[in-house]
Amino acid sequence: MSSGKELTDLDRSIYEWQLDVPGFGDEGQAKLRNTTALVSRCGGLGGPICLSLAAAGFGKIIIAHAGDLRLDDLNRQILMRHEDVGSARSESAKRTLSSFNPHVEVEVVPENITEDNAEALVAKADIVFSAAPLFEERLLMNQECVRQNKLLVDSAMYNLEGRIIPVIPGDSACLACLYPEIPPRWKRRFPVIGAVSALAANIGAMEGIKLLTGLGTANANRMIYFDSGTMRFQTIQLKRNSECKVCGKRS
Amino acid sequence: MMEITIQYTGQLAGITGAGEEVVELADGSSVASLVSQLCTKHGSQYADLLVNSEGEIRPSTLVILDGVQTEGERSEILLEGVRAVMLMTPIAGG
Repeated sequence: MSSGKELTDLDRSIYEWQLDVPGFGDEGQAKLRNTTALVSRCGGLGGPICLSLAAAGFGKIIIAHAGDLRLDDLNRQILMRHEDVGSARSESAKRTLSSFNPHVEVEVVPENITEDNAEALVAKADIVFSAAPLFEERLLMNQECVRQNKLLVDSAMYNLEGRIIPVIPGDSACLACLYPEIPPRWKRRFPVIGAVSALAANIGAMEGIKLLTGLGTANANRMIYFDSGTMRFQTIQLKRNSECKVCGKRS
Repeated sequence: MMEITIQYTGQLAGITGAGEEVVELADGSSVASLVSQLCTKHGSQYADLLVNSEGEIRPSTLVILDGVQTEGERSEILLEGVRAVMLMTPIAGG
């Protein structure tokens, strides 16, 4: 995390209402102002994550997402615009974010996370928000975050449910502790209402803000689970796997 | 006999058509015996999500006892005193 940028008068005007949050203040805002976040994909989950990070005043958001916008993305990918169907998702996301908050730097990488780019992309970030629909990408992000000692918030949803796992490498259970293999029965196509994605996304964004600023109580070593069908929320105590191939030897 | 509430998430909830159910188990039952009983009751699609071809709980299936994740040799864990078992198959939707 860079420490150079002081809050400006414009910052204080834009973020005035959150500067009033007890335990946040100028110090919390300055931390976010000097934070670079990498968001893996900007769809139903990653899009609302990006929007909340931009609203909160993160210094820079790097978005990694390949492909062009399709009609059937529009029930949940709230950074997109109907007129952008057929164009690159990442560019549509950048236009929306830059229009919403032009004081946040947005870099787009029109690629999904792969073994070829994961190391370099994670190296550019202070915190990673993982929101890809495939475990291959999520486990790759997790591996790089543990290796580079970067904070990770992994958010996921299915149907009316969501789960969020914040990871502090070496201190809390990592994604590979829970999922030591690519789950063979997970399918790329999943049932989704956009509001459920956005709910999971915003819980994830808030967990990231807490990890960075010390606000509230971060839920490292806990999974936050919700069922929006019943509006039952719970936190589940997680355990590190001492045999974990990714974080097992880190203390 | 003991009664335990089974909470379903993800695809398991879709197959069973319920968020939870209460099952009766013999005293001294383990996680393995619970899973075996549930797979018999709910059929092959349910079982395929939960266990591999050898009948072992898939590594990516989370078994949560009274809000605490289990790890290691999960099948051998005894359920004495446990009130709720949450079975969580992996999700990655976005």
